Amino acid sequence: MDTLYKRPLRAPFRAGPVTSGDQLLLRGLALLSALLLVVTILFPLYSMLAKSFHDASGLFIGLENFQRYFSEASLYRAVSNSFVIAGMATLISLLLAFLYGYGLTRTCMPFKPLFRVVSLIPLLAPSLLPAISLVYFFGNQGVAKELLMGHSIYGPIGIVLGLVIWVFPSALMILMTSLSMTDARLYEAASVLKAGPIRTFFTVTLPGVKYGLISAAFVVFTLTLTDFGVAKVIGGQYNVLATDLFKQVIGQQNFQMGAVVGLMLLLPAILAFFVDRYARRKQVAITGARAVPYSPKPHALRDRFFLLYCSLIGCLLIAMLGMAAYASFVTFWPYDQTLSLKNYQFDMMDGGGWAAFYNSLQMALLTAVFGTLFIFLTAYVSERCHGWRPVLNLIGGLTLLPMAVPGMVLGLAYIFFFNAPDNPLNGFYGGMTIMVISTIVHYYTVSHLTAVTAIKQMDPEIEAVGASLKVPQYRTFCRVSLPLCLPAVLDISTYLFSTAMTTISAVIFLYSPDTFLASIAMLHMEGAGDIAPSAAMAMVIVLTSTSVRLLHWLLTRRLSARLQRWKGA
Amino acid sequence: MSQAHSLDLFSDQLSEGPAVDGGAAQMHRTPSPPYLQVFDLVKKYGTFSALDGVSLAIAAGEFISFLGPSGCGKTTLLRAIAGLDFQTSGSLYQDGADISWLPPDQRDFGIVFQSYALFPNLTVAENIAYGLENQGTKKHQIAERVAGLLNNVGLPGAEKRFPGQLSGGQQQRVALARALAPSPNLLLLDEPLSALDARVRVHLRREIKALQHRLGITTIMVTHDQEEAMTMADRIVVMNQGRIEQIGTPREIYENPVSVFVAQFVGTINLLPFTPCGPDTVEVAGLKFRCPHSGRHKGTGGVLAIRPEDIECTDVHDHDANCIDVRVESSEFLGATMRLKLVQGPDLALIADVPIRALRGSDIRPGQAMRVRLDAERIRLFDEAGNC
Ligand SMILES: Nc1ncnc2c1ncn2[C@@H]1O[C@H](COP(=O)(O)OP(=O)(O)OP(=O)(O)O)[C@@H](O)[C@H]1O
Ligand SMILES: [Mg+2]
Repeated sequence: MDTLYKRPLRAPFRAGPVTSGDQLLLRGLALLSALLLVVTILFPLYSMLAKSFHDASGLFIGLENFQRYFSEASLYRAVSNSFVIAGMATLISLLLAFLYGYGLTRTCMPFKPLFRVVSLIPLLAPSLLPAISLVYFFGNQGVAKELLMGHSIYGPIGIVLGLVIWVFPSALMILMTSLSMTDARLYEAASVLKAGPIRTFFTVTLPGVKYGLISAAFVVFTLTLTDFGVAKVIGGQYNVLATDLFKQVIGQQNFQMGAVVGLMLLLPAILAFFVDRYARRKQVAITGARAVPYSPKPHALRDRFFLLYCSLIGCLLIAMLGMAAYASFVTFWPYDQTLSLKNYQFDMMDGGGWAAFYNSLQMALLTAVFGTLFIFLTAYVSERCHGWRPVLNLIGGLTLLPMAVPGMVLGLAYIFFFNAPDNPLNGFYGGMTIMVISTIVHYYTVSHLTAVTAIKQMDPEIEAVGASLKVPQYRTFCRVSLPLCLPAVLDISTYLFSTAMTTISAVIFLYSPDTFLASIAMLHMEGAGDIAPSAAMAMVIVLTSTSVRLLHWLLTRRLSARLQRWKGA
Repeated sequence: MSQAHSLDLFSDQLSEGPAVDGGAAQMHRTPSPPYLQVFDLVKKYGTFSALDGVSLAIAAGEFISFLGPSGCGKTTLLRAIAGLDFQTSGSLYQDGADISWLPPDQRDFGIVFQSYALFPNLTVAENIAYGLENQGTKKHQIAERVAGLLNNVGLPGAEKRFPGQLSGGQQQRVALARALAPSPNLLLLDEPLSALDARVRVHLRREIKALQHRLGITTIMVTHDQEEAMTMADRIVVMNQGRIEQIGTPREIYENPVSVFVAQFVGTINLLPFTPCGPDTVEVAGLKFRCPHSGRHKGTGGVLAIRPEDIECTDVHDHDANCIDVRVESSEFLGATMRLKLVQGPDLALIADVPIRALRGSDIRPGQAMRVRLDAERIRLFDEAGNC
């Protein structure tokens, strides 16, 4: 045998691994992705940070801007106002959403799918919509003004109510995930141990969703802290950080102070982001992979209570949408209640007219197409590229960062970065491109995580098999990986499209007269006192988002039929 | 029983022809260099060595099995041979060429993964044709080849179905056909049968072996199932903690294990601590046993090893012939043999497999006394470290 262990002489000597063409391509793409992410995320945020330490003439002044901010009561009052509002809205929405989610996951009440769909209503339109509806219900000429017993809806009450409605679906989704992840065996154990319903709730149910609650609380807190639309419409004289930021930057052109306010928004958001990540990891850890899903048993009293409760919330959400829809057709509220399409003649009003809607449509399409392409490819590359750890880690960090950056902060950072006269990318400023990029970046993380989850679910050896059969990886990607991930790709593009249709926060700083968007038109018309047209524009947006979601639903249904065929009967 | 059965099978094949006549022997005969050579392969994950200096040579047409407990580095070694994960150091030669650092798409092999990794969205035919399409093969030729391969793996007419519509065993065959489609010269199988239930597994074992024999393709199969390795492989590479413990034909491995680890891992064996005493004699639990191969262990203790089937019932009363009186503690009926747990005093316990024929007419009951003989020729001694 020993004679065999001689090295063959004709073999050439090689020092190290030869990188395959496939890996070279992946690495090239990884580098490109990392580069683009650095330019569109890291550089802008850095510009903003830098701005806050400089004065208007570009001189470094250290913390002077911050000192000035905190020495002016009118300015820093916005901080406490914002935190109070966000705290209240978070508490209320969490409570409402928890009960709603409990009804959907832990009871046997009827019409669950319907309630699920209804809960999504607030996602179909910009956050202005709940605020506009509130004005029609409780405003100076509102139909149910008396219910407020003399209090004004314009101010903290209105902001909190509007925010609660707007963030309700977001809170619900997180809570439902953790409510449905709890292990059924824990309940069996509790009932074997003869624990009563109250005791079971406090010893099993609450601990099981603890991290879901934490996660939802911080996500919702960030959303409510940084939202602009609601406070703008219904905030009255009540100053919050988001409106303040808008005033500093657009009203007074005080960019340095804007950067300071931006940081005030960014810091809590980053903190919340880390708490959320921590909670999510814990949630996964406590449920584990082998949890037995809980399936509720009928219980007449409980089921009836939750049916009643969910119906109430559902009706309120429908009423919110219905009121705005109705108002959008009323010729002249409250004097001429005849129904007409007068409010839909956007071209007769301030705010960009129908062109704004077409711009929105165009932006949403571009965002969906390019966003999905870039996000999915980047996710694929970061999962399948071997070696080059630093580049992949950079991508990993930068794809998570956008979740921690509030939209307004992102928009502001984009002004500072792209509008700098010495930036070669300066040409993008004020155009459609920058709005598309900002929207993709703004909603990057959720899309990225969706893509990564789908890619991780595929057999990791698929590419290895392709390589062993000498098929280039891009072909295996197109023929196998991509078709297998198609549901996720559809999810991502729909998500990007509908958020692009409704977003305000980032683009509010980036639009130009040529690139008015529907959501921004809403803001303008509302600001000019044309509330009904604003509601009408909201309806157009709602109709578009609904159609896209319906299309998505149909496509997904066809896809899952095909998936079923792959899996066999 | 299954052990004996598999050895029978093996000897059947021995009589069939020279091709399976043990790879090692064949290589001594043929002057041509081995088909695949591995030199001092090391794979490190941080400070942990998954492969710790592995060297071996495989002849063309051989069926080799990597056998070892979970985590011993079998998959790592296979993936290094495929180029799917590069080794930290060491080199690989295939057909005389240095392939140490070539990416998988520049190597010549077909692979079947434990999960099969069939493309779920492609039909069986499209799966098998996947590696043929980019070679510029004509459509009707591809169709013919696919049909031929499906015939070969025993799935004729399955072209139009999707992998999800097939049973585990059928999927396995498709994966095999797909790996074989581009006619590679080396076939790598990573635990190809572990996801199947026992019945299908035994059936597929024979089929894969027969197919390999028919095609004459050099094959490496990873497994942690010793029975699988025994029945299928020409030679077995027993691995432990990133190292090769022993390379040999199934029979060599079974009959002449070089370490306690191999002896224990392949088949059942009695392990008894001994102290040496006198020439060719060792002492176990106060009893003296003769073993002609004890010479090397003078002065130190170690472990005496004997297979259960090398302990036989006897009437002879001869202590020099390793006969001892024992009591039956329990018995297990295995069909062709009876597995007896025997004790002698508090310190000595033995397992013996006695052919049913030798027990005809006698009734085995717990507590019963009997006399057995340990075959001196079959006793092996290992030093304290567990080596020969
Ligand atoms: N990517 C990795 N990082 C760190 N350690 C690894 C990695 N891959 C494998 N290992 C370690 O290397 C050792 C050998 O792994 P390998 O997969 O080769 O085992 P195996 O013999 O195939 O086992 P099994 O029978 O369970 O498949 C194991 O201890 C494993 O934990
Ligand atoms: Mg393995």
